[in-house]
Amino acid sequence: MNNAPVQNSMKPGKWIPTTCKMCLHSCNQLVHVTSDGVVNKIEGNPTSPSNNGRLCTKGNSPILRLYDPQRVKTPLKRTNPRKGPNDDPGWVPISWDEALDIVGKELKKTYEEDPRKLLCAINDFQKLYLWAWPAAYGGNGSYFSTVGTFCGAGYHPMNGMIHSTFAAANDPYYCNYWINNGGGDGFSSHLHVTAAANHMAKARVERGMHLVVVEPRLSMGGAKADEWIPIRPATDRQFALGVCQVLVYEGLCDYKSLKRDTNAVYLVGPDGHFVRDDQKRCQIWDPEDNKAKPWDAEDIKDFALEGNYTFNGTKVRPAFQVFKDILADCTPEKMSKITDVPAETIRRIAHEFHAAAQIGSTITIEGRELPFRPAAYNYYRGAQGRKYGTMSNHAFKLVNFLVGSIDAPGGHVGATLDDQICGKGHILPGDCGQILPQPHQLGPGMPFAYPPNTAHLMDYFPIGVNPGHLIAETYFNPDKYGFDWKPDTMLICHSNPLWNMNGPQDKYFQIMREMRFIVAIDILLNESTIWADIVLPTLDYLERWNMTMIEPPDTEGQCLSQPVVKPLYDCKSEEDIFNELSERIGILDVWNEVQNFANGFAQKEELLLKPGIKYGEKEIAERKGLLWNDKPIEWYQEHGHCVTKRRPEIWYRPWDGMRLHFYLDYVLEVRDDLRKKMEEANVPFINEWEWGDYAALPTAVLDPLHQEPPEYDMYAISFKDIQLNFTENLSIPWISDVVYKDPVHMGILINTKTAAARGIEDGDLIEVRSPYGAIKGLAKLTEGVHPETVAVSNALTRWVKYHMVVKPGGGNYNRILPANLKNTCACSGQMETTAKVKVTKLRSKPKDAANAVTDELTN
Amino acid sequence: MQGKTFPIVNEEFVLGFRPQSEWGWKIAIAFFFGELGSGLFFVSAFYDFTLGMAIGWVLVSVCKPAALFMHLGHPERAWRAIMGLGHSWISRGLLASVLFTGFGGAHIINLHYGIVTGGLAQLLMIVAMVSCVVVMIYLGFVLSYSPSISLWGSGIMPVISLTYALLGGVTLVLIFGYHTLLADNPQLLSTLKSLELGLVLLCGVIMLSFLHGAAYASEAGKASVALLLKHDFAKWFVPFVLLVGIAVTALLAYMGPTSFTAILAVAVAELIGDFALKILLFKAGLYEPAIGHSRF
Amino acid sequence: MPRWGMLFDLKRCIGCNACAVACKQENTTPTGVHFTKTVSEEIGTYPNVTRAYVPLICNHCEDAPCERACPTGATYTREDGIVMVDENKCIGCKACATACPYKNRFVLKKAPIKEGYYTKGNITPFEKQGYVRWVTGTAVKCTFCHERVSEGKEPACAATCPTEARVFGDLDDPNSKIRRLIQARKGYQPHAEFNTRPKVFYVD
Repeated sequence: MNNAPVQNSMKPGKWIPTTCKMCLHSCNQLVHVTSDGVVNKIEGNPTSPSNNGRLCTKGNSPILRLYDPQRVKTPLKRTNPRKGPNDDPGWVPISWDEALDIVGKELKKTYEEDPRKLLCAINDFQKLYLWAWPAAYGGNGSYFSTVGTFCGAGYHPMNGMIHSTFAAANDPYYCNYWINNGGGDGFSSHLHVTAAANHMAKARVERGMHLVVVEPRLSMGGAKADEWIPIRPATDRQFALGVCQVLVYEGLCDYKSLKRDTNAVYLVGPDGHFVRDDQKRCQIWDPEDNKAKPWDAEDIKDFALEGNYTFNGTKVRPAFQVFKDILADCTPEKMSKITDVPAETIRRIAHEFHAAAQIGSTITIEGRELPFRPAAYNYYRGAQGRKYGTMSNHAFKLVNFLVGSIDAPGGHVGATLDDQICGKGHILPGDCGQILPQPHQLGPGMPFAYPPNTAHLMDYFPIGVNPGHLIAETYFNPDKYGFDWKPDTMLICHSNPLWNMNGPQDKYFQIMREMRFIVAIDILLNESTIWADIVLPTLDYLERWNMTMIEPPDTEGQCLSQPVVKPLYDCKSEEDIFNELSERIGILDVWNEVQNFANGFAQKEELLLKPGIKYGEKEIAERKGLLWNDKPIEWYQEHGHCVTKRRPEIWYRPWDGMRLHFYLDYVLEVRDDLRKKMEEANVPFINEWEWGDYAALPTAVLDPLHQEPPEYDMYAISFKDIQLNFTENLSIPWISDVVYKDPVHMGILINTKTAAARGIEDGDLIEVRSPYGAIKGLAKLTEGVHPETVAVSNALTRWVKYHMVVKPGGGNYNRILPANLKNTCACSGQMETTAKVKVTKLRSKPKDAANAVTDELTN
Repeated sequence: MQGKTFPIVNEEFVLGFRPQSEWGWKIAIAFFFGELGSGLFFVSAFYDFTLGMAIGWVLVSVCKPAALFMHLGHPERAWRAIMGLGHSWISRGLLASVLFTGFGGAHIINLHYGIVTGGLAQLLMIVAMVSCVVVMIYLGFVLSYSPSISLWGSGIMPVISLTYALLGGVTLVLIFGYHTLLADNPQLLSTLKSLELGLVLLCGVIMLSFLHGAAYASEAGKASVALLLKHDFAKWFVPFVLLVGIAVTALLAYMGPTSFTAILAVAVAELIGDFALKILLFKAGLYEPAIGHSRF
Repeated sequence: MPRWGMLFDLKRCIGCNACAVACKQENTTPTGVHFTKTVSEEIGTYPNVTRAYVPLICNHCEDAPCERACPTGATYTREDGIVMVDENKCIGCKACATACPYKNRFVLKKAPIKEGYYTKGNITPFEKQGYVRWVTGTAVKCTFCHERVSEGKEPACAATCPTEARVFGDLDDPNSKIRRLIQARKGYQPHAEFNTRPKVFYVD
C-alpha cells in the first residue's frame, strides 16, 4: 500500500510566506509549494496578529486564480474592429514588444495631443501608487470608474476630516456595545474581513459584547446580532439623528469630552461660520464670566455648550447648540415615521448606548490614562451611500462624538490607509486648536478649473472622491459643462468599470465604442476589458512581488507578496508595464518622481527613485519595506510581514490636546471658496450645484430618491457578503460553488408577505424597475428583509458569459441607480446607492431559469 | 418563535430535508426482481411447480445481480460484500442469495431430474427455502437500517418486502401456471386467486400502517408521506401504488372471472403497483435535517 | 490514545464557508463533494427573525451506522476514533450513504474528476496533483484531516475558520478546550436520539 500523503499540506514541499490579494486588504499567508513546484495549499500565517492564521472564503481560494485556464496568457490584440457587449473581439496573441509599442504609440499620441483625453480606471488597491500614474501622464486622471466613490465618496473624506484617516472602525478589543449600521465590519465586508471577523467573534463570545445591527436586510452581522433593527432603506441618517436627539435632549452626553476635545464649544454666527475676533481666533462662551473669549484664552473657567449669546453685536450659539436646535426636529417619533423603526426602539438604543459608554470612566494603557468609552457606532456603505453623503457620514460620527467615543479605547477609531503614504494618516495641527482636516487621503485634491480639466468634474469636488459616474453626464453634454476637449483614449488596469459604474449602461457602451484606443491591463478578461484593443496580461500575486499596508483597522505594518512559483505564462508585473509605457511616452522620469511621492520614498533620500531607471516590482517592494522598518527584503522574504497590533499612542486619541471637528465649519469654508471660484469663472452650471450638500451639521432632510414618482413603491438595495467582499470572485469555481448554493445569492430577496401581496412566489421571474433602468431575476422569498425592500446580491450582477463558471445574472444592479448631479452629493461626489423601484412579476417559476434571467444586451 | 417546518433542499446550503439520491432506479429494479423472483420461487415450491421456481431463480440469480452490478461503483470487487456478515444486512442478503443460487438451482434440477433423494434432497430443499425467505425480506432490513430516513427506518419494511414478495409470487404462479399447473386444477386456481386477494388486502393494510407510521415517526417522515400523497410524487403513488396496485388488483381478484385475460389484468395491475412502490420508496426517501434546530 | 472530536460554536459561526473551501483545497475534493460545509436556517417571521448558520461535517460516530451498513468492512474506525474508508475495499454500494443519518457520505463520480473544476477537461496542475488520491466509484468522507492531525495540526477547516467557530480536540482529555466548552456551554450532539454517539458537538 502506498503511504504517500494524500492531503495537500502534508505532501513534500515547502511553505513560503506571502500576502493575500483576493480582496484589497492584506491577510498574511503561508503558501505550500510541492517539491514538483505546484501550489497546493494556502493557509493563514499564524504569526500575524491581524488574521491570526485564519483566512476567509476568498483567502482560501487563490490557487484557482493562479491556475485559472482562462487567464490571459500573452498580450492580446483585437482583430474585430466592431465593439459591443456581444461582439467577439477576435483576439490574437502578439509579442510583448509589439503590444507595448502599439500601446506606447497610441498613448503617446494622446499625450501629445492633450493628456486630459485619457480616461483611466486604475483600481489595484494593493499597488495604490499606480493610481498616481495619470499624474505623471499629466492628464489629471479623468476617471472612468467609481472606485472609491461607491464605497464612500462621503465616507473617506469624512474620516479624513474627523480622524485624519482613510477609514474607521470600532475598537474590537474594548467595545462592549457595538452598533453596525449598513456595514459588514466584523462579518461580511469592509476592512480586513478575516481579521475583523476573528476579533468580532472573540468580542461577542468571549467578552459578551452586545451587538445591534441596523439595516434593511438581515445580513450575516444581523443574523449574529443581539438585536436586528430592520430599517427602511436610505433613512439611516435619520435613525442616527433620532438617537442623537435622545442623547442631547435627555442630557446623556460626554460633556467633558465635548468641551475638551471638540469644536462643539466654538461660537457659530448666523451665517453658519465660526465667529472670530480680529485675530481670526474662534470664540467660546464662558458661562462663569458670561462672556465670549478666544478659544485659547488662558482664563477660561468653563465652556458653554448650550445657549444663545451675542458676540460683537451678532447672535451666536455654540456649535453644540446649533446641533441641538437641528435635533429639535428629530424626535424619535418623527424619525420613526421616516425610518420605520419604532420610536421606543430609537429611544431604547440611545439609552443603552449611553449606559454602555460608561461616560466618565478611564483606562490606563501603556502608562497613558485615556477615556474609556466601550460603546461605538460603526457604519459603512449601506448607511452612507446617499446623495447627502457628507451629512450622512457626519450624523453617524456625531453619535460617537456625543458619548466621547471618537478614537477612545472601546470607541469608534480611525484606520489609516498606509502610515507611510506621504503626509497621510498623521495628525497635523489646523486652525484654532483644531486638527487639520485631511479629506484627500488617496492623494492631493484637484485644483479648481474652468473649463474642467477632468472629464468627471473632479475639479468641482474639493472635498470629494472622484465621481467617475458623472462621465456620462459630461461626455454627452460637453457644451453645457464647457468642455473644449473630449476623452478618446482609455486605460483600464485591474478594473471592470462597466460593471462598477452606476447609471446608464448603454451610454457607457457608447463611450467605450467611441474610444480611439483602449488598453486593458489585467489577469482575466471581464465585461469591460473585452472592449480593449490591446490586453496586457499581469502576473498573479503568487508570481510577483509587492509590499502593502492597506487600512488595517487595528494592526499596522507592511506585508510582502513574493513569487512562490515562476510565472506560468508570458505575463508582466504592473510596474514593468507602466515603466515600459512611460518610457515609450517619454514620462519615465516624472513617473519615478510621482512614485517617490506616492510611496513616501521622499522621506528617505536613499530610497529615492532616480531618473532614467526603470524600477521593477521587487525594487519598489524592497523600498517600501525599508521605509517602514529598515528591514531588507530578505528579512521580509523570511517573515512575510512585520504586522503588529496598532500602537496605542497612534491608535487612541493621536490628536490629544487638539480639537476634533464636531462642527464642520471647514466644509462651509470650502463651499464658499468653490462658489467664489465658480462665480468668478462664470461657470455656466453653477446653478446646478446644490450648496446645501455642504453642511456643517447634518439635518433630517430626506434624500431625493424618496421623492421619485409614487409608482416606484419599493426600494432596491445591493449587498456583498464575505465570499464576494470588495470584488466578486465568481470565476473561481470554489467560490461560485458556495455562493450559488447560498440562498441569499440565489435570487432577488423579497419579503414573504410583500411577495404574497403581489402574487409573487419563490422562483418566479420578476422585474425590478427604477426610473433609470431595470433588472430581472428570480424572486427569493425571505423573512429577513424589510417589507418595502428588494435586495440584490452582487453575485447576480454579471451579464457577459465571459467565464466558464460565472453565471450571468439578470442585469447589473448598478444600472438602476441614477448617475446625475441631482443624486450626487455636491460636496463629496457620493452617488445614491439605493433606488426606488417597482417590482413586477414576469413569469411563474420558469423552467429554464438560467436562460430566463439572462440579460439580453443589444449591441 | 413559530415552529415552522423545514424545506426540502437539494444542493443548496440550507438546513432542511434532503432527498435520498444515492439509491435510484437500479436498486429499485434489483429490489423488484429479487423479491418477485424469491416470492415466485417460494410459492411455486409448495406445488413443486418447477417452471415457476426456475423463472424465480432466474429473476433472483440473474436479473437482480445484473441490476446490482450496474449500481455498484466497483462490481469487480462485489465479492467483498460478504465480509460484513456480523453487522450488514447486505452481507447477509448476499450470503442468502449465493446459497439460494446454489441450493435453489440444485433443488430445481433435482426436482426435475430426481438426482438425489432422501436426506440430501431434504437438505437441498430446506436450505433453498430458508435462503429464499431471507432473500425475500433482507432488502426490507437493509432499508429499515437508515435511522435518518423515516420513510424507511421502521420495522415494517421487512414485512412489506415479504408481503409484496408473496403477492408477486402468487401473481406470477397464476400467470405462468395458468396453462400448466392450474390448467386441470380449478380448485387451486381459485385458492390462489383468493390468496391473491388476501395478500393484496394485507398489502393495503400494511401500506396504510407504513404511511401512518412514517408520518408520525418524524418531521422528515411526514414530509416523505406528503411527497407521496400530496406533492411531487402523488401523481404516481396514488394512482399506481394505491389505486392500480391495491384497489384495482383487489377488485379484479375478487370480482374478475378466471379467464386468462382477467388473471393477466390482475397480474399487470399488481406488478405495476409493486414496481411503482419500489421506485417511489427510493424517490421519496428524505433525510432528517442534519441537526434538528428549530427549537425556537 | 486521544479520541478526536470537533465542536461547532453556533454563536461564532457566520456562515462564510471558508471551511468548505479550505477543505477543498486541502483535499482536492471534486466538484459536488463537500466533506464539510455550513448551511443556514431562517428562523422566525419578520421582524422577529434571525438566521442560524450550522456547520456540518462527518460526525465520526462512536456507533457509526455507515460502518454497520458497510458490507465489505471498507469503513472502519481507527483507534483514535476517526471513521475512515479503505478505498481499496469499497465496492461502491452506497449503503453507507443511505445509512448515514447526517448525509455526509459521497460517492465519487467519474465526470467531475474528468471534467475538472473549470469543466470541459481543463484540469489544473493543482487538480492533477490532488486527484490521484481518488478512486472513482468508491465512497469518500471527511477524515478529520487524519494526516494533518497525526502531525499535530488541526483539520484544515478548523485551522482556517475566521471566527474560531470550530474547535478540534481530544474528547478524552478533561482539560482540552473542546471538553471544557462542551461542559461550560452544554454541548449537544446532532440527533442524539439516533444513538449514533457522534464525536461532533454543538454549542448555541
